Amino acid sequence: MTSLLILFLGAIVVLYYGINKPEGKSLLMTVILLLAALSSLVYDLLTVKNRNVLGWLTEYVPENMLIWNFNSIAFSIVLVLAFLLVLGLFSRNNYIGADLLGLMLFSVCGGMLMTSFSNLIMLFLGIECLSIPLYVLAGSKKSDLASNESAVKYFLMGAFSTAIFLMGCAFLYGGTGSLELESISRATSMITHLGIKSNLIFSGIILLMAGMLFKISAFPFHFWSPDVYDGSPNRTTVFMATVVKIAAFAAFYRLFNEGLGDVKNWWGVTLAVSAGATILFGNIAAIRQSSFKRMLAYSSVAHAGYMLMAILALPQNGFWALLVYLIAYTSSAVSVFYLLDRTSGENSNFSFDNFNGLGKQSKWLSLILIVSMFSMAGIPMTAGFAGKYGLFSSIITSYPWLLYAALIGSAISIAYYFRVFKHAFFSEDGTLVAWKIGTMEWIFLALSLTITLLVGCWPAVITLCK
Amino acid sequence: MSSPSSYLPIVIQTGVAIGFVALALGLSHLLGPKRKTTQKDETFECGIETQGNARFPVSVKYFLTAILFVLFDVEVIFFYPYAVNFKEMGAEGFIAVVSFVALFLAGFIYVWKKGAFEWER
Repeated sequence: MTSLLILFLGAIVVLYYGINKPEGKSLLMTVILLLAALSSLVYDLLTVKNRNVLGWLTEYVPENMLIWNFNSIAFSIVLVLAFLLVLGLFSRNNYIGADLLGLMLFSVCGGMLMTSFSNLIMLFLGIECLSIPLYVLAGSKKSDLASNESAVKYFLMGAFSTAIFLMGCAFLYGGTGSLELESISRATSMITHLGIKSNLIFSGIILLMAGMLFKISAFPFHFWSPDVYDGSPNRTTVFMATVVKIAAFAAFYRLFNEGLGDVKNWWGVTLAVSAGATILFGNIAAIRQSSFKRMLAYSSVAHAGYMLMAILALPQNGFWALLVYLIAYTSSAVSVFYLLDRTSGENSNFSFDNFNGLGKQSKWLSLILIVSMFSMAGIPMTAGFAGKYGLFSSIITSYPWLLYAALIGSAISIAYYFRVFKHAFFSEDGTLVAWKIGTMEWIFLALSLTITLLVGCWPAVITLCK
Repeated sequence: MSSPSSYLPIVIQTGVAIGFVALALGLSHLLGPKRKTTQKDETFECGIETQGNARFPVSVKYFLTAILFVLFDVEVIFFYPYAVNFKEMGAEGFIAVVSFVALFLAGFIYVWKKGAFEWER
């Protein structure tokens, strides 16, 4: 709760501080704010009473419709850390005013509500608080038509998905008589024990699932994401691909795996089919892209498919697998997007050719590109492998056919992830202009590289805090 | 009493209402004579002559003012239920509303400082 207050009130202070200054001036203040929130979260994590992921529903008393247990604090830490990485790497901005920083901070506040909600009303507020700043951020490159298009598209799609989500809440309320997650969980498990089939609850669950699948851009509801990711400014795209995805998956996990876990036989197969289709579709579509940014957008759809497996797994396994995968995906995606942003310069052409000659340019940047791409593809010794291993092994007994789809998908993904190496290291006609890398950027690049390698070589480091 | 079948009369009533409107409009369209002239096809048959197109670019300032108005108008809507429940909600409700207004005020001062109310700039 303290961290949420720090972020929210701090966002207002940052807005006022940077009112007529270039954005770079208020950046340091934002980073300090995030570090304060992060340390408050770490303190919460160390002092939280029960470290068991199971049984959170009965052992915690909700306060203001929120529960701050081990699970939500861990996701919040990853959320704030991801935002810190995004800010540190995408900081060269001559934009006047700190409104974009403020919007991102408010969005992170919404994300923290989504990681720690205990009531569907709070989840709805969190989704709105996360999404509304994003609609503005997607269109923040005002002179660019693609950016405007992505903002309108995202807004319309987001409004529809929110309406579907709310309809699901209403049905669930009608079926169980409560919006509190604990009561919903108790009511649904009682209904299954009695062997009754409630159509009201069933349709509510399916609508809620549709709303959440929309937010994470999974298969039947993925069509908005490539256009929106492609058109948005790079910083917004990476914010959507990392921070928003973390928040949405934390909420999805809490709502379905923990809240509605007792009625998994109602929604499990539907979600598994969606996950398999997401993985196959995302990977196959990504091969065909000639734009690096669009390829990353489709690959982020595929990654959402992998992460859906955690929601189908048993709570204990699913939580750790999801946490490791989110950390792995974030740390590698942030540095890949950084390279994309810097190689494309000021123009909005994001083809693979931009990477021509990167290998000659800098050894360290080449290392970062290789490690991040390995991690995205899931090569051992990188965090992506640890994440994929955890996810795949968590569903191996319950949904073996989903595992086959995921393995085929991973094999396909190597083709497009490694395609950039051809351009970076074996291409002669390098038109790449060298750029100056600031101290802050080196620090955050090193941080993401360290996380990727450390989690890859020693995945147990994540479970140390247990 | 509240079984779905007891709503059947309402469904029939709705069907009759829609059917009557559709029938009346459709028949008068089909049977009625049509005499088209340029003057009859104008948007307004009488009054001031229409000028130009309705779709012309409007200065974004109007939209900014309108959206800010809507924002603070919606804020007022929240006061009505609070005013009705003023006594029941007590000190806790008062603190909640004051912090709500304070946050709105912070936003108001921000747009003011940002120059959203300066018409000529």
